[in-house]
Amino acid sequence: MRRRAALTALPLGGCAGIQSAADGAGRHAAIVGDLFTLFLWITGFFFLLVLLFLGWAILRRRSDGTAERGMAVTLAGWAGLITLGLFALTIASFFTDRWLAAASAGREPPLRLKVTAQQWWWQIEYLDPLPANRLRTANVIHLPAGRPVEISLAAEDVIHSFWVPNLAGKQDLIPGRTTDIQLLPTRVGRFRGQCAEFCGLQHAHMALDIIVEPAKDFAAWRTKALAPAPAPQTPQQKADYAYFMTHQCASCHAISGTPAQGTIGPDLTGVAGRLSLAAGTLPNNRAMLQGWIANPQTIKPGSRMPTIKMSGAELEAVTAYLETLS
Amino acid sequence: MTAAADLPRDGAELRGEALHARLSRTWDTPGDLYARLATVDHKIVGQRYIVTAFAFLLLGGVLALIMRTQLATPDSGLISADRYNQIFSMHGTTMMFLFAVPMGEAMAIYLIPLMLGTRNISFPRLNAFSYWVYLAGGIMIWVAFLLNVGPETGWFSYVPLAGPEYSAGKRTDFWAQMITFTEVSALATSVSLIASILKQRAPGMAIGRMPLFAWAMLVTSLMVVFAMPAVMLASSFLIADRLVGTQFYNPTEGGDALLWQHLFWFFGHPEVYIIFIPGLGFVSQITETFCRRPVFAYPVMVLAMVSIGLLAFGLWVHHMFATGLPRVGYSFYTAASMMIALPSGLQIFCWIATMWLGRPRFDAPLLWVLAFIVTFVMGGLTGVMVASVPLDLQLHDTYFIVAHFHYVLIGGMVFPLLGAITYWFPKITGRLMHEPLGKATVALGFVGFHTAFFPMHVTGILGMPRRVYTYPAGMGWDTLNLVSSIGAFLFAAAILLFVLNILWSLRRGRPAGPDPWAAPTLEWATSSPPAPYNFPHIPVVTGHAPLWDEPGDLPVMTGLRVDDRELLLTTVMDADPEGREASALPSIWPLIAAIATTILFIGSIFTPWAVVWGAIPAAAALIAWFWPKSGDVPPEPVIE
Amino acid sequence: MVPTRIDAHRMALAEASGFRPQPDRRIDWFESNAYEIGQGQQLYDQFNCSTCHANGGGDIGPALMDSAWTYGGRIDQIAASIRDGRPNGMPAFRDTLTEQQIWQIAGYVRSMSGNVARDAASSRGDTMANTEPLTRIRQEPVTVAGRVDRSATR
Repeated sequence: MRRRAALTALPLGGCAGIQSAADGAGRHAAIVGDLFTLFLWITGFFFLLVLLFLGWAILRRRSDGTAERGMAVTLAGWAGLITLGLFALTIASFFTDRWLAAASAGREPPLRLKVTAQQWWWQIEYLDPLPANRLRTANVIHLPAGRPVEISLAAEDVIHSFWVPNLAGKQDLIPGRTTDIQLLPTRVGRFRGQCAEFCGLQHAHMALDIIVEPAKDFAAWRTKALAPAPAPQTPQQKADYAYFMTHQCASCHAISGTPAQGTIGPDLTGVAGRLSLAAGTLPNNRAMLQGWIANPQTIKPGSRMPTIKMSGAELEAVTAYLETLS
Repeated sequence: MTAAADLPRDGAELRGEALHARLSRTWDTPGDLYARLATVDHKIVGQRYIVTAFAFLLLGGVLALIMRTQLATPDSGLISADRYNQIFSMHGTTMMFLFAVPMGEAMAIYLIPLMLGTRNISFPRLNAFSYWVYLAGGIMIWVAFLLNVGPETGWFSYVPLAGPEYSAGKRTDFWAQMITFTEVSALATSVSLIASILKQRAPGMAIGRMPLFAWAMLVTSLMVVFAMPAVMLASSFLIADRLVGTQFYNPTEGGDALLWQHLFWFFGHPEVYIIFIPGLGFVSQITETFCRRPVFAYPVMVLAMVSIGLLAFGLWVHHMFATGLPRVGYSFYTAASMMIALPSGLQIFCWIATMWLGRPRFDAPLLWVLAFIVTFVMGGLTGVMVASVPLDLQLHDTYFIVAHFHYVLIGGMVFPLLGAITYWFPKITGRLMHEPLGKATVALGFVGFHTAFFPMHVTGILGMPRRVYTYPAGMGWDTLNLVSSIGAFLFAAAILLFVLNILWSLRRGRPAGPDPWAAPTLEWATSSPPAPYNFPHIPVVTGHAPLWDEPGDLPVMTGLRVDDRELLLTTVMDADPEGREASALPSIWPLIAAIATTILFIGSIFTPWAVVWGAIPAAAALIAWFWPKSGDVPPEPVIE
Repeated sequence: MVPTRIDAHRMALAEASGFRPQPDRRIDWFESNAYEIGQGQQLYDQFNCSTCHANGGGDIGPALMDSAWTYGGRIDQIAASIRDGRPNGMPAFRDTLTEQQIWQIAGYVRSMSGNVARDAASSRGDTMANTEPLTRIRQEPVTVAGRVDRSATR
């Protein structure tokens, strides 16, 4: 399977990437990649036939009295060939559909998530029968390699589309309906997904990070993420914490284990450990975080996070507090 | 009261210069402003339509260049998110609704009566009305765009994003009402074309001898009649939701966001074939003329176009493969979407076979056909790829799809169109276009197009979604986007060359006689440009290629009146002469009705009462339009 | 703030000395800009104003779509009510919302009584049907303590 993917890769050069459908890192993407290779060969073959026929028609030496009957027979043959080709492709497509549906069968029970999309960020919930084990985060998904994942998809406002090309095809999130998608990551690494249905002003900046890690690392991450945020220790930290909790931040954002329980904006528990900020718009480091908090409207104009006037010290306080949340 | 036998008619007694003088007096459009506004001559309306549609092509193209400039580099700050979203929405809207469909209709309005051997289109006033309504709708949406109230949710405007909560203001309302304008306009013209093609063909032009362009326009027009009501319904529901708070698309109150998608795409998929089938007609006519033989396997060509027209209505869910509808239903649409490749593939074979069997002359129009074949086949094959559900779930809403549809739309419609304009330019204007420049334009256009759009296949596979105003650096998309942008400018340069060629040729092109290409169809049997009455006598047709079947003078049928506008009607299947029909005189009422309709439509963007109060002037204009003619009608002898 | 006789006297003195108060440009902006009103509509839902005010009909809190305004029904007065809170249960949102967000909500509240530009209001939200379409409702005058406040009528 790897080699066949490489055959497609040859003409395309660098098609590895963290957001590439040609670089399958999950069972579903790999199956679709194989189907694409098949389609490419068969359609390429037909295209070549057309080009050859066209070239010959242009370049041939004309002799008089060319038989039209021969051409009629060729037409019938061409119709038959097309029909066969389309049949082959349709049947291949149907079988691929079945294989995709069965990709997760016979394995351990799937990890269940719920993703709710809003303008312009992703809310991720790890479902669990025990409420104490339910984890909520935003814009990042950690997954254990080799275990099937079943994600239930919902939309809060408009239609979005959940797409992680390295892992699987996309699925729309439609208000008023629940859709779902199955994943089965097979390769450890970091990948990027992006909203693939135009959803308004900042559709271009609605991405998410997917981190596929070995099962042990995933379990460790999950335990850490379920723990409440570390309490402030030093007086400076306590002041930063107090500022965060008594101003606008806490009215929209939630941090587990604190009075901040807003659901309008992304959950910020563990934000310091994330790879990116603002749904994949910025890399996560202190300078970017501070710049984002200071003026989100210049970075992601129209996003629902307002630009709040703060003094330098207040901005420092908020940034410092968020940096403790890893 | 004049006896029928005393009426002046064309024939043995009245020929040549004298006939020309009498007929011109009856059919001509004088040069004053009132006459030009009131004209119902299909050639004048057709030229207006062609020029207007071409202007929208250029406007839409400028928007494309702005987008490509923004996307040439990652994280570009050239254009704001809101402006970019308006630009891509206007680009799609302009190209699909204001250029592509109207241009096919426009060429048909000009060519079909000439190709069929009749004096005017049926329903000439309705045709004129269609143009004014189209012009009004196009101006409205562009003025809205320039005033920052242009649509911002894409050319297919999904709800709930386009609904009252998430699309503030009147932007989407202007868009939805523009749909009403263009769909009324398209329906009006299509009705006229269907009637013309079925009832006004020259005697002897049985339906199996009709030019393939006429078949293409018959299929297209019937598709318009069946497809447009779906989008009218969809946009009316949207207007109602936004203006008076209905719940059609509100899931909380029993509506459905997917209702919009079903209704829109039920129209939207036939729409792309409505755009594409006239292109097939152009290709057939050009291939026939420049290979100096009729297209191979005429019945197969006709059946292919008819089956495309029928099949196109059964494919629409392939635009919705990612919405989570039941999988067993999807399989049906995969099969249907694959199936439609068969008639297209057969047509490609037939055109190439025509070249094989004929003696091709590789002038610019035929070169555009070659460009069409290569490009459209690639687009069709990527279409076969995305007909498969698993593949589509990776490729949908990415730049791969952008590549696919530009390949089929530009390859399948614009290339044939540019060839068609080059081909029929001498008929319309009396002068030939500059041939070497034309060849250079094909070459530049072909190279530019593929440079621009081929990399997009790769960009899409590498993960770049559509409709993004910018993209991050380092994803592997940077160089590909830069190449695409360069290609876009090359393609634009080719279009510019084409426009310059037209402007130059209007003044300095080599004068063309009636038939510079030695073509077979009837429009080449009359002068270039045609006289206002098209043909001095109605030609009679004995085969598929009248001018090749009867070298020398065409047999004609005489006896139509010259002092009044009169057409010959023939039967649907065999084109036996059946009767005479009075053809409408020039009238200002189509323009006035169009103005009243425009006021009604634009008013209803702001208040529902406009529908009520606006109906009054519209009704008054229609009453004046249909007011019966008075005066004596002399008895006519019955035709056996 | 209800103008009192002392305020009126001060205003007259100020005007006599050449002072011309500038109208707050925000008033017209937030009452005629569809985007701001649309954002206000979403914020009204997200910050649970309907818990007390329902969808304008009032519940625990007063109705917002009628003509009776205890603390003033001009948009800047509504914004002040949101910002500073009011006795008997209206919380202060000055630490929860930014100034722009407060004005956006105030603009939406004004649209509930038909006091915004007709083509800027949004007919409904994607929610349960709750009022007449806001694009079609009749404009309610603003009355404070029984007297019509003409400065608040659009």
